[in-house]
Amino acid sequence: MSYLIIDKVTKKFDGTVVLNEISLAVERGELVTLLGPSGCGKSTLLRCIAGLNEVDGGRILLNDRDITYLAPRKRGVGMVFQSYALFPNMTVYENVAFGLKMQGLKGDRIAARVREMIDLVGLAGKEESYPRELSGGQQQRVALARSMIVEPDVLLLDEPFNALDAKIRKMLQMELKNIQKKSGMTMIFVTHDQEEALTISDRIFVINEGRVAQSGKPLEIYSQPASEFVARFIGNFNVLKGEEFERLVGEPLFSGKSLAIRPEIIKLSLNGENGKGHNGSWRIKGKVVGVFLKGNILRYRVRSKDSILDVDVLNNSMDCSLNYDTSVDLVIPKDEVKVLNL
Amino acid sequence: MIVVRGTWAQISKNLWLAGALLPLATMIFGFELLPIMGMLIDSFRADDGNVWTLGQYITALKNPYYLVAIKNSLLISLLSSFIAIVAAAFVAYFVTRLKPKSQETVLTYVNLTANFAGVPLAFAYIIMLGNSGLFTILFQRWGLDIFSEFDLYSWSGLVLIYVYFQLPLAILLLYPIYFEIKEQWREAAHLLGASDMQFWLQVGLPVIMPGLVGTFSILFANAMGAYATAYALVGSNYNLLSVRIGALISGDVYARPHLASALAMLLALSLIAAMLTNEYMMRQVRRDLK
Amino acid sequence: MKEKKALHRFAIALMFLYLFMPLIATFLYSIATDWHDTVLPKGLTLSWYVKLFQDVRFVAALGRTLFACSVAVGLNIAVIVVSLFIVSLYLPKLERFLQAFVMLPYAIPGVIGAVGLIKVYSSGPLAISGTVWLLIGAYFVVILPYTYQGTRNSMRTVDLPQLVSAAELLGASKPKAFFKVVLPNILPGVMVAALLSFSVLFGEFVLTNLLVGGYYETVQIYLMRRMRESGHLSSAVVISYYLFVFCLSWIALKLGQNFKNGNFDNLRGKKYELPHYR
Repeated sequence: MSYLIIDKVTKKFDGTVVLNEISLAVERGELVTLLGPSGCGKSTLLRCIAGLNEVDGGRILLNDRDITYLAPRKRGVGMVFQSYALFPNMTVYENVAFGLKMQGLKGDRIAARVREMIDLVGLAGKEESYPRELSGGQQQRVALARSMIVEPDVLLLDEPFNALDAKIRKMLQMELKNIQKKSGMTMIFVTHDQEEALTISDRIFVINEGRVAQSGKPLEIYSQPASEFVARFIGNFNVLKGEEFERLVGEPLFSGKSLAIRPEIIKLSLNGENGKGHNGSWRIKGKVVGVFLKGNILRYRVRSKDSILDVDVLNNSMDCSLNYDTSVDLVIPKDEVKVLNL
Repeated sequence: MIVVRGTWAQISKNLWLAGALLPLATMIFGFELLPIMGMLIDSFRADDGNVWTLGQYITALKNPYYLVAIKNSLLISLLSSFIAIVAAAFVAYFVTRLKPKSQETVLTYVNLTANFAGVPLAFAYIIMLGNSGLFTILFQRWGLDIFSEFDLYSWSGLVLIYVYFQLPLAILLLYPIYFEIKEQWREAAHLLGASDMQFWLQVGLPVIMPGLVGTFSILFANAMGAYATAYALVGSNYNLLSVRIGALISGDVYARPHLASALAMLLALSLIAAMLTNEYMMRQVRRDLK
Repeated sequence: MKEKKALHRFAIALMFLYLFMPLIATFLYSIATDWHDTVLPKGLTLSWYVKLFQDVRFVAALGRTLFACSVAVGLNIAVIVVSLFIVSLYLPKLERFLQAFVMLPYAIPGVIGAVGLIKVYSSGPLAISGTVWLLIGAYFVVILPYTYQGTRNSMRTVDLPQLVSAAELLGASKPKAFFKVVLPNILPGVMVAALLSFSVLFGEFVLTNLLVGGYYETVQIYLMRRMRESGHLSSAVVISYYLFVFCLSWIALKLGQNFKNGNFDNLRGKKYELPHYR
């Protein structure tokens, strides 16, 4: 049996269904991500697991215990909040020690553990600082240490890096992943940032309208989106109606379906260069209507017939970029065109 | 099973919550709602307390004695509010032109004097301008006849003292309103060729007007309800609505609590009108700007 | 621009002259030996203050004021903190409803309040008219807006529900979360509200005079009764009272500054949203 089981959990706020018989399972030691747009119910699910919201139906099992109706403090669940929720009247040390003190442990017996944990999150030397004296990133490290020290069965992280700027955010993502692997703690991470989810997760649950839209390893989710929603949400996929695509390639194959094509698998060449596509790919003529520099990637927006396709090209200085209105050929490998479920 | 247990837990939790909120509810009911309801009912009762009647209101609005009290209260409230708001409109604006640090200091001191009201204030004015007050005697010695007709215990004295306690309040209320005028507006207006005066007439004043009216209504309410200062200065002799109400409930011989209730209800109505005006005006400021 | 600046300064100085004149005059009067037909006092003395604090009647009045104010403020703070803790955790929807009742006393001047209170408590089962208990009840309601707003703002700035959630997830029970996490964090804000309420009540005259004036002489009533007997002594009362209120505000200000979340600013802003009745 799985370590954490969410079984048909339903939650309503004022009659609006936020979680709609959602079910999912998490294994021990995994870092899974609940990924979805704001309002999809991912945070609500997290709060239900923590016991901060009461569920209207369904069960939650953790480590073979039914915790559906337990008080938050009896669940063995830890949580890191988006706004840190550090206790402003306590120092870093006192914040981290709080959970152990609540277990009735005395000062000198916990000191070693507290210091070890502060070391682990890289805050050695800041023990006596107050939260307001720390940067956002440092505050979130304290929050992480504070919830990890009591060794909860599962640690919930509610968009913990949202308030931080991009650089610090990337660094903390890496560190979190390291810490998680080192400690082997089961973690559930909530975010609306697909890049973040792809970076840190062992598995991803894409949530939409209170249900799991798709689950799987990051690579699976990214390369095999199961639905138009996932395709649009996860990447910068080109999502086309079947009829639209048929017009482009001139083959009646996809009537009534939706297709997803990742921008980076489309090859781009100047008009007339080495003739036809291979058997395994389609060749389409088009015109560049937009060029966007995205750091290591150049994104071309290409119009072909009445469709717009985005094409990502690695930005190595050898290629000079193409100008607007340049006529180009697009080569699309057949097996990379994903047919989406509706 | 779980659902049933959940319900029981719910009920006991609710009981516990209700119990914890009981003290506050009791105090609010006992010392706020009950007195208000009692007063409302009393105002519709005859003096013996047994008959329903509109008589108290008729007395309040027909008897010249009380009618004059209402008129005096309205007059002094309007006049003192008007003087205070005009003075404060200038001073508060001047304060906003100071350095931020100085602004804070000035407001702190204004705040300090805002607490100076009631009996101590009346007393201070008696010392200064009373029959044998410091300034009164000084002016006599210097032969300044203009002041010889001034009588602190009359209408003019009351106005002076009402303005005194209205002014700090007016400044504190108006000060933040000036920040609704963005500096860029002024710059834009000047670049478009407007003079300072034109800017104020076309942009500045219209923007803060609702704030001025709202503040005025608060000052008005403040003066209407004022009792201590006037009572300390002229006792029950001067005919003001609030002083009349006080006399009707405390005077042993003349105590007429039912009439007092009716007068208090009329006073309350005027305050509610002022409050609603303020509420509406303040919302106007916000709607205009956001 | 320069001469305009000068004009601004002049106008502000004039205003301060007007506003501080009564205070200065009272202060000088309180330290003057004799001052009734000269431009300046004939001599300076502190004897009026000595006399005042040796006056048994004044000391008794001071004791009564302190007693009534302390009980009302203490009781009120305890009730408000507990009630708001519960409301913001369990019944957030009730808050607007509660706010309406709690803010109402702002809008009710003392004279009106006194009419109703006397009606309810002068006869019948709860005839506590003329006793300090009626006064304390009235005081309790008068300061509700101040304590409510101060406490609520403190709870908002620390995001009380989330703080309690965090504490609970770390194994704290509700009472522990309240005493270890919530109380230390809202205490500065609550103290500021308490001090503010205390100084409001210390200057309260209308309700005191109308409800218990004849039976329970507070400092304000004492001043009212003696101000025509001895100007110098009364000046000393006024200045002492004013210094006391000033000290309270100063402590509150310091507390507010130490408490960096800006609670006191909120409170100070709110204080003048609605009128004080005089």
